[in-house]
Amino acid sequence: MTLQDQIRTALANVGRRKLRSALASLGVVVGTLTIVIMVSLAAGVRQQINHQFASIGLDRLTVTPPGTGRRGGFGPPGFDLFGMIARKKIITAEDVSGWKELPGVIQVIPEVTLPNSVGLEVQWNGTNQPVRMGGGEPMRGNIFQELPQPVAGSLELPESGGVVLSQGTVQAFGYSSNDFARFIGQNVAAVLRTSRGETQSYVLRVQGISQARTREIQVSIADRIAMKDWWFNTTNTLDREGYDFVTIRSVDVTHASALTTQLRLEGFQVQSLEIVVEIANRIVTAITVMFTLIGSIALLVATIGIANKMVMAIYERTREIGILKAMGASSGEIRRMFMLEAGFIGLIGGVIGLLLGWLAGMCLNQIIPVVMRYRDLPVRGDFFVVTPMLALGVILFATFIGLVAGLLPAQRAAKLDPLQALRHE
Amino acid sequence: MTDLLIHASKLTRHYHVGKAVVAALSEVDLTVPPGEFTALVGPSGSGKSTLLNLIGGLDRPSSGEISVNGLSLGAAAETGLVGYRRTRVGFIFQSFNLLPTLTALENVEAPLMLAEIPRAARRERATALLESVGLAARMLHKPNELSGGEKQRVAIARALANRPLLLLADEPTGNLDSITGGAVLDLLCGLLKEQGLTMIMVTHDPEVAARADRIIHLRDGTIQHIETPRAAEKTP
Repeated sequence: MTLQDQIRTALANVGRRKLRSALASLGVVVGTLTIVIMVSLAAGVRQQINHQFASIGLDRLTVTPPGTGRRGGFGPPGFDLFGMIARKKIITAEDVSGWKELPGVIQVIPEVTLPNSVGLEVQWNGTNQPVRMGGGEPMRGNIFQELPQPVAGSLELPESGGVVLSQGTVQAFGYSSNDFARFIGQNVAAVLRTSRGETQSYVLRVQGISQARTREIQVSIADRIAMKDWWFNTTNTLDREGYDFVTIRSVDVTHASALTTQLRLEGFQVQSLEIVVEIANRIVTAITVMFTLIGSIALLVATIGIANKMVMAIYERTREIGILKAMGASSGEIRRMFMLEAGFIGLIGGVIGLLLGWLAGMCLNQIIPVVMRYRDLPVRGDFFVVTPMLALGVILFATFIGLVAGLLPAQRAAKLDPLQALRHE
Repeated sequence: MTDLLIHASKLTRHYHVGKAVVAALSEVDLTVPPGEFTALVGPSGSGKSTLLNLIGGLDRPSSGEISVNGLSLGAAAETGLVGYRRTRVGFIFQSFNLLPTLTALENVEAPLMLAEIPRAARRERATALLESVGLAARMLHKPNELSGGEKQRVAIARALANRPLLLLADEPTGNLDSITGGAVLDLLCGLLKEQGLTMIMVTHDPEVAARADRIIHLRDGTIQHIETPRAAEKTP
């Protein structure tokens, strides 16, 4: 009997008692569904964590102003006039200079970011290229990180009026690395553009070209504050909003955690990433393992259902097994036929469970952001992520479960004596 | 001896029933030449079915020798017996033993599938076989939609599928009325002549046995006597 014929026969046999096969695979569906939902949730959480922290280094603290204070004026509660999350307390220039004096602090980098809705372009020789605003000041003195090196000029920015272009930006204008030196000392314009089409240009002198291959520019914090002032049509952005975040590098993790405690007491939000990332990953791993175990238990229980179905089927078909043996079916062929049948029940249950789990995850991925927005939690991205590994793994596991469940019954069928089987009523 | 299809000597089969040992067949010597129609008759428990099962490779002897077409069935490996049942022997049972979920055509195809005949070829062969037993119109019916005689015709077509040397029939007309049974027997005898097959048939019915070339009377696991009805006819 060819494998193809064995598979066809096994599939036909699965379809013989549809209700019974469906009930037997229901356990697999539930088990697979559990695993898919739980593991995809864990994968989603891990992805969230990685998204949030990927770009930031290890031994730093990030201090942000505490959010969702209520302000008067326009806009929904919790948001300021400009649709930004209102700040209960701002990070002032005094705070920053105070932190520089704290023990164990190596470097304090205050940052001001432009809102996401700002269009930023660099104008050179009459053409414009869209760019991103990068951070202003490189981290210094980290033995694990090489200092970024310029490919031309210098990366140091003057108090105001200077700009560092990335390699990618220069190349966007059609220049190769041979032409980089020509840009140093030239004036370019940084153009801010609102969605209404209003623009404002800032003439900046090129200080150097960085290695970055993305299209970005770096300008001093004073220039960024000036840009933000124009954007919000005020003259005192820094006084009103403070810095958007401050990165503090400390000498070691102990100091970092002491600083974290101290700054939190002062009312700031502090994230110490090394610890957070490590603990979060540990928790996510533990959760993944736990969830997988719960799902696996459900799947193991499903083997009982399949094994029961197979034992019933073999009892029912004893005479048929005898007939097949009299016609010259070998024990191996009988065993494989029943194993395949059990495997298919597992496979079908696995596929259905995977599809249901994936669908449920997709629905929740749509619903959760709505809830998050309603609760002012600025979290984006998917919560349920079905990776190809998970999909493949879960289907293989479900099939394996089916095969295991079929093992003993199939062995029993194979061992049947043809004469006794033929006499079976 | 090479021109004998079946050769059995001192063939014995014991069964253990509890602590007792029952001799279903003891020290039977039998030879069957190719092309012969042999009937096995005798009362219940005389060992005729046991002998048939031993010849068919469904059972193994407790002692003694049996070889069919040169294959020693007692000593053969399991795979050897499987191949023997698949290609050398066709079984016909009293209760038909068709696979209930398959159509007549699929039932005839089943042994061809076991022999790994390609799909198109086995469909063709099964169709031809069902036509030759007069069931061209009933090919797509399932066993429960067929009459007893029709079922037995399907079973005959199935037994012939892999072109066996030997047909083993265990009371093939036992579940049929005399007219249907007669027709089935006519069909079988016709096929035997046409294809030069050897057949061994267990039967209770003296009328059926009378059509055989040789009638072997069994009692208590031994051969009582052997009749050759045709020979009797020939010498008036």
